[in-house]
Amino acid sequence: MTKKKLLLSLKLLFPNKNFKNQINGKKFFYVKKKIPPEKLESVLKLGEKAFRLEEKIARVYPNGGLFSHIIGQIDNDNNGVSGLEKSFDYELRSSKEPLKLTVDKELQYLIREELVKAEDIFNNVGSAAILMNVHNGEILSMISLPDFDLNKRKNLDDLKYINRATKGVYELGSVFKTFTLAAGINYDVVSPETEFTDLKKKITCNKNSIEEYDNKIPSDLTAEEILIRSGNIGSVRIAQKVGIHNFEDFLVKIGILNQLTFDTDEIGSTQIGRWGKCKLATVAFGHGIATTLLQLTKGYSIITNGGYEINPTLIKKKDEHDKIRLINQDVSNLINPILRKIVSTKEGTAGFANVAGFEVGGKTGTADQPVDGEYSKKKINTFASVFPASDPKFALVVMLDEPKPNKDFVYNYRDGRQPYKGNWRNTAGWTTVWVTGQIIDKIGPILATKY
Amino acid sequence: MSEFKFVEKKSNLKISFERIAFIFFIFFIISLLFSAKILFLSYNDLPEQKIINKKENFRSSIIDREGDILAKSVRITNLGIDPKLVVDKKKTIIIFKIIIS
Repeated sequence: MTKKKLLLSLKLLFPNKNFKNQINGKKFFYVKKKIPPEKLESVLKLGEKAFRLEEKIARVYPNGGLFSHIIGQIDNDNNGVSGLEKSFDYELRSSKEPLKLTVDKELQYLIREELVKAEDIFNNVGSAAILMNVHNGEILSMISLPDFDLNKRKNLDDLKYINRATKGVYELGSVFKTFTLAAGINYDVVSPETEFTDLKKKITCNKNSIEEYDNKIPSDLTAEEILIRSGNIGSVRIAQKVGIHNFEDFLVKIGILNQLTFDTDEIGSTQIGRWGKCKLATVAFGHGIATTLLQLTKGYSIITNGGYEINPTLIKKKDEHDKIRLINQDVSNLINPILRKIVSTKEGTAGFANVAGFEVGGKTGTADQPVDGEYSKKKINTFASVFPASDPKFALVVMLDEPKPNKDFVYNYRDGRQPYKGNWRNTAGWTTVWVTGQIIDKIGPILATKY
Repeated sequence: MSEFKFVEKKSNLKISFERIAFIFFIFFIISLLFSAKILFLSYNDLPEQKIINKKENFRSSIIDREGDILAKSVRITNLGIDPKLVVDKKKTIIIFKIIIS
């Protein structure tokens, strides 16, 4: 057979490979990597002295990309370069015992499936979700999309592959209003019944205006109503009562302002700038402060678990530490019912997550993304939920990055109303809350029976 | 004089002992070379002899809370080709077909 014929045959056999230069050259080249044992046996039986077999140790990931952002990658020399493969490189090399994680494969699969469906509906560029046990910080599921198949090692320089759950730092908007009211309760400067009257629709601070998203919001509201209706000006008024020092101190206590210690190196830091009266006003409703989804989940866990310290973790630990209380017990007792009302009442913004039997509570956050120093129309829609609200066990935080309205999508209400077609507002309530509801529909029964 | 008399018959063909020994020696050398070649080829044709062992580099497994494996180290074999040693290309192509079928 001529060399020309040989090359033609190789081209037919391996259409994606070009052997021309290799076969004409003198250097060794791979024909097939990870050849299955049964096929290898056939090859050996036939005998061909030009073949070379190379035995090596390879890392395989049976679930492909399902845990890609958690596990991370290794390089050609089996060194961890990202995720747990990197941060636990020494342990993985030296120990014969497997590294046991807190995540649950079944939950991870179901949550990822709903986030993938959300991309089809809302055409978002990315998304993330964290499911955490609020009492011990164990992460049962953590997903960031897009993800990648760990078995196909690739260069991940593209920013779209950032871990949106731990590394991405975002202005998360109104989900922060829960912290504002919680701080007020913690320092005993407001209670849910505290009345705020003559709330303006628009105020200015250093020539920057702060407006209500919905101008129909009443001018007289209690602190509880401010949170349920997601009032901006009312939240500013609560923060002013708390004061800069107390508010900053509170955000440190619940882990928003201090650097989080985590099991992987892919971890972002909160950006806030200098505190002042205008910073206090904007942070009150979640602007002028950018943080990670992981820190938000930690904050919600502490606020709703009775005020105890937790540290988010992916590693299953054998011993449990003593509980350390960080904030007053009253905070959880008073905040949890309000979070429930946001989901269960018509004044609330999260009705699509009112999954029967799971007593979901939570707060929505719709934030404009800054582009080149200016706020754009691109959104970050977040929903921070806890359930069951009467005695929370789990925090589930879901975020959609740049969702778009879908006029053809049909919303099925959970209270029996006629279905609604079309997304008339690109808010968390119409996007992320819907997705969260779908997730809890799937994982709720598993959590109820397994945990 | 005895009637039994040994009469030496001399042939016209005159071959010296040295010459026979030389021819035998040449045949012996050739057969030795062929034997060595057969032995060499019989060993050389086995791909098992060409296994390149890379440094052992095991990492322990990563499992989820239920014990399901999320990452595992396994021994794999990569198949490569040395173009300098491709003799029977037709045979090589048939093997290629077997590998990917």
